[in-house]
Amino acid sequence: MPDVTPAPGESEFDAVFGLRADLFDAYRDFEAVFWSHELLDAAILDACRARCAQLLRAAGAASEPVAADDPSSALAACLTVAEQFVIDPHCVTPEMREAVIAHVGDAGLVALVEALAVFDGFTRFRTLLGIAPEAASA
Amino acid sequence: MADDAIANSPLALQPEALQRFLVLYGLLWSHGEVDHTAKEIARLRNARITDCGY
Repeated sequence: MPDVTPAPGESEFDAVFGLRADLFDAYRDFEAVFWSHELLDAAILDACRARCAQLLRAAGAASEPVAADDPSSALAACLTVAEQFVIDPHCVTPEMREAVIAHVGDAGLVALVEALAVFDGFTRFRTLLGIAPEAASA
Repeated sequence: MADDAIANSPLALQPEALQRFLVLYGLLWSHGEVDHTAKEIARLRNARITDCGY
């Protein structure tokens, strides 16, 4: 991890990213919008974030399976895309996309893919910089 | 923003997210410790590695 000392109540992630305060503020605004504007169901967002962390073998990733009980659900469709997004986005098929659209529409698919970009990218960010995990939050 | 390629892409289906993304992306490219040339080379290298057409 970069040589920073988190302030009381501050996470390592906050302290590290806070080295670029302007970017961090803009990042937080972007990352929060998925929940604050309910661009996608919060449970789906949380599950996709957890699944991305598992696939990327991130420190602190959930050890229990992250899966949908109902294979025809929106959660199942979104998790399928989430997994393939991390593994190889070229292998996301039209059928996978259509399954998501059937539940959440075109705008929902866009929100999902944007959220996955954040989850994937910033999980890698944490791993590369050796940032300790923290509890998932909205 | 209406003439912008990104703003005319599917990202526009989520205007609240797009607005915030553009702020973040704009700051990333217009400010910082890493010089612009290095950023652009990294971007191109990333696109090549991930077989991205952009």
